[in-house]
Amino acid sequence: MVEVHELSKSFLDPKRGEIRAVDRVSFTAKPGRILGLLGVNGAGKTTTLRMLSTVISPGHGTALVGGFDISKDPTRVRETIGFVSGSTGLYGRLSAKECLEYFGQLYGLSGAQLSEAMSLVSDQLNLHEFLNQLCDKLSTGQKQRVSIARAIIHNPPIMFFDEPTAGLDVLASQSIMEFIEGCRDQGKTVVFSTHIMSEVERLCDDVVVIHEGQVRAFGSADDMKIQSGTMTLEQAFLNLLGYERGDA
Amino acid sequence: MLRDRRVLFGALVMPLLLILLMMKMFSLIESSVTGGEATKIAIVKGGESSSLGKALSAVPKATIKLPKTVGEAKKLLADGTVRLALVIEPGFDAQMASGHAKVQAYYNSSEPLSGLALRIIEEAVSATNKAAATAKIKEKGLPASVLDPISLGKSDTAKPEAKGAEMLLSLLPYMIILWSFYGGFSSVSDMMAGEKERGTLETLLLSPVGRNDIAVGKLAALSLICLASALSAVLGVVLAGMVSKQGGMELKVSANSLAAIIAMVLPLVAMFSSLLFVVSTWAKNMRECQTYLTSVSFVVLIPAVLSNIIGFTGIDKAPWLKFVPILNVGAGLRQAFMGVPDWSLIGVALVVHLMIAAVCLRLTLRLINKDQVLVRI
Repeated sequence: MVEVHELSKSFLDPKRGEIRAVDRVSFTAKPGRILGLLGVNGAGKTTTLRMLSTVISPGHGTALVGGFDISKDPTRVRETIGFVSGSTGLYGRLSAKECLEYFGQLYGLSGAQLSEAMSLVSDQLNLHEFLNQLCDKLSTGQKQRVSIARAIIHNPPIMFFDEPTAGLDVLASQSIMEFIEGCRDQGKTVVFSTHIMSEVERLCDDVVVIHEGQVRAFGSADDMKIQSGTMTLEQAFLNLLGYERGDA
Repeated sequence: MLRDRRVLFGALVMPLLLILLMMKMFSLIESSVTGGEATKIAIVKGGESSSLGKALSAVPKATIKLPKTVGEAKKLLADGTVRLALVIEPGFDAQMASGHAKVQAYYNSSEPLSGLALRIIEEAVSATNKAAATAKIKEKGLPASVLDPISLGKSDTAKPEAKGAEMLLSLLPYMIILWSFYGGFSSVSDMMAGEKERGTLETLLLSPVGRNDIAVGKLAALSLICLASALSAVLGVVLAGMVSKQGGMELKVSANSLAAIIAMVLPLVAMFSSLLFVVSTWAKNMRECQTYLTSVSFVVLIPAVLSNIIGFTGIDKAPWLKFVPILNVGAGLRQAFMGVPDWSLIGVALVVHLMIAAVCLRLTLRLINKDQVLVRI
């Protein structure tokens, strides 16, 4: 379970002054469900996920991740989550296997436990064919699979996906989405950030529309279409943002 | 890290290679000086039969050319065939006998070998003058010692370690200081700034490992690289000492001196690596990091260059020098190579460098625990 309450974050820009990236965001993500954070670029999705994963500290507000407070117990939060992003990288001079070993050890795994975890994620993400190749030599899709394997090596009950299909082709995106569905089926709590409507419609049980750092709507994709009186999620989304033709 | 060939080459191979290359260069210079390059002399035809001409022809490895005219001699000087052209007036020996003879030397002061040739000629002229004066004094029945009433005895008090190694003594501290710093140069921008740029720092920060542990672990790796580089430079020095034995520039390093060298290099490495690391932690990306590092390298280079020439300034024993970072190590290393390590200077240098290292580490820990380490606008 992820419970977010009035979470805020500001950055100080020497030229523009204070920038409020996230402004009193609240939502709840439940086990066995996928919550979609839907918003345009710069809406505050990544900042929210970074706060929830304790990589950056919240300005105001609180959040409980797996029952642990992100401000008071960040190490336990990090032990509980897996984080996959389109922008997180891999060590190019390590092979996929070495990369998994390294991160497994960082999560406290060793010996038979580590071998078992590596074998499990390799099967799950079909890594065997390139396990011994250097990460620098892998394709974008293969890298993303290794990246996911790195994030789930410790079998976390909560998964954060921050635009995980960015830059991937249709086939690679498809396998990532199937994997996210698999996480839900295993009863994990999944928070999935994206700006692609079709992914939200396919994957998300609950949707949080976030814009200019604030939550604009919270509910299911169907609820949003009904509430806005539109046929598609895209139109509902544009309505929530107050977009009119010619605004772009 | 060791899979990165740049690190292996930059930190381990380069210091060794450069020191040995430098030694080779010095022995080449020395052999060109002693091998007769400076004694290629033109004597305008006629002068070679004079007593001075004969004295010059007797100089070991001398090459004497005999151009017919002064113009021809100058041409030989200009094209580098000779280093100096000499015009010995006809009737030189008769003029010598009457007490006044004139010799004109043409040389090129912009060429070091030409200046050296002038010094050889000046010595030869001086020797000829002395021989003539001695002969006259003997004629008058006076002892030859009248010409040299003061007899100067010379006793070298230099330790055996330092004898014949003046050039090495001024260069080696500089090389060791430089490589303690530059050894980590090739890898430090990759360590934090590069990890931010590639997105791997975020994955590290997402693990349950504490940020302080990450910083200390990375700093330990960088220190190891800087230390390996510095030790590679020390090894280069020892090898250079062994190689230079044949060339007359012998350098002996006793166990006491080696201990002193290591006692100075260790805190220096700690300071350099923590300084480099704080820069990499602050920088947004590799490009920014390299720009900062270039500026920082000047702060290191200036005292390092000063340490190179400190032996000529006379300040190498000034009490305040102990407290100047880098420069104190320069002076201390020089003394250690001379076989007279100053342990009080080494102690102060150790404290000074470790204090700076501690300040840099504290800064790094503050930076890595802030959001700005990932998100800096």
